[in-house]
Amino acid sequence: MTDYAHPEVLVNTEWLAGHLDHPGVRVLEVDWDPASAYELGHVPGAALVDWKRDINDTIRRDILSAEQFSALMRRLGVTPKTTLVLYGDMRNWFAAFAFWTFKIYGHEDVRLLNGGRRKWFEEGRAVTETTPSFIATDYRPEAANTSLRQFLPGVRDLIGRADHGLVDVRSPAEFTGQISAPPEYLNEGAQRSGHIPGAVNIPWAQAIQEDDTFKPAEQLRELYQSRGVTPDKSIVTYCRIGERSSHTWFVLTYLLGYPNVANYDGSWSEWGNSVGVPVEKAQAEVPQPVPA
Amino acid sequence: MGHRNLDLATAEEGCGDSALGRVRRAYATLDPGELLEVLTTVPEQAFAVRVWARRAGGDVVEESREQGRTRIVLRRLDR
Repeated sequence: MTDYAHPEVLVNTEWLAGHLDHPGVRVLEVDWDPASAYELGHVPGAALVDWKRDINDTIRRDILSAEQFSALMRRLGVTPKTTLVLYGDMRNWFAAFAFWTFKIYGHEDVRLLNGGRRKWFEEGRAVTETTPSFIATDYRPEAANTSLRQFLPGVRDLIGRADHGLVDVRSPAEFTGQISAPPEYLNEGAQRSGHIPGAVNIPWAQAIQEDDTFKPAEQLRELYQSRGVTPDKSIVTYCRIGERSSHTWFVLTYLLGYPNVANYDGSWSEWGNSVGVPVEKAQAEVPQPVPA
Repeated sequence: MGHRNLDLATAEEGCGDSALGRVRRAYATLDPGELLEVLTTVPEQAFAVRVWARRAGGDVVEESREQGRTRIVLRRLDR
């Protein structure tokens, strides 16, 4: 992992297995659907972070507030010096989203388990149904780093600007406008389908290998730079609700070291339903093989 | 006796839907005694199906693993 720009934000399964009882490490499983994941079995000592309940403001459509973040950290027995190791269901998407929100609120040492829950189970490592409890702490967050987040008006202002890049990490079918959301996602559809004008389609999964670990830095660099997503630009990532794009935000920010990357968490479920914003429909720009 | 199949590799995992969610939905449509054959290449999914079935009162009739693919056959016991 040393070829990444910030290898310290990734831990592998072996490292985690050796630090489960470390007092300075708190392992958090971030799930969209805890009943299908954490509640069935999890990494020993890991605490549940329920994405819908804990990472979102349940009244407004928003990420958790600074006060809610502080309350979450206190409940999990976390201090500003604690090393947080995140993993979760759905290929680490929601863990990446939590990573992003924790960075917005300035927690210094947050790490992602490379390969996530899938790799832990793939390797036959220990799991438990026991839930840990912690002594509450007094946690006060840093001032929010809003540069990590982009909102609709800001994205609209970027359209057509050469010094910015928009990365749509959804599937080609969503990007080209064949569908606005898969039919089983009744709450995530949109009035219009397509993508934000000027965006390039680089599905999130192109950043990982078969075992869900991240591709080597060289391959990642080639993947993004060959599509015009270069570190000299300010980059905005988006998907449908902002969690897959958190995964790509993580790759660009920490594995490749791009200095200016923001996640547009309103994503297609906001853009595709909004009045007065343009939509583009086109073929996905998948790289074509070079003729012999 | 009816027999249905669910290959978890055929649907792309998307936000808002888990592999076990698809199993639960398929299981809910079974009649008592009917079988559901679940196929997966992901050990995490096999684990989830196994534990959930036990908790849900389902009967794991068969489980095998061949060439990296796990096959779990569930039988619905009640309705």
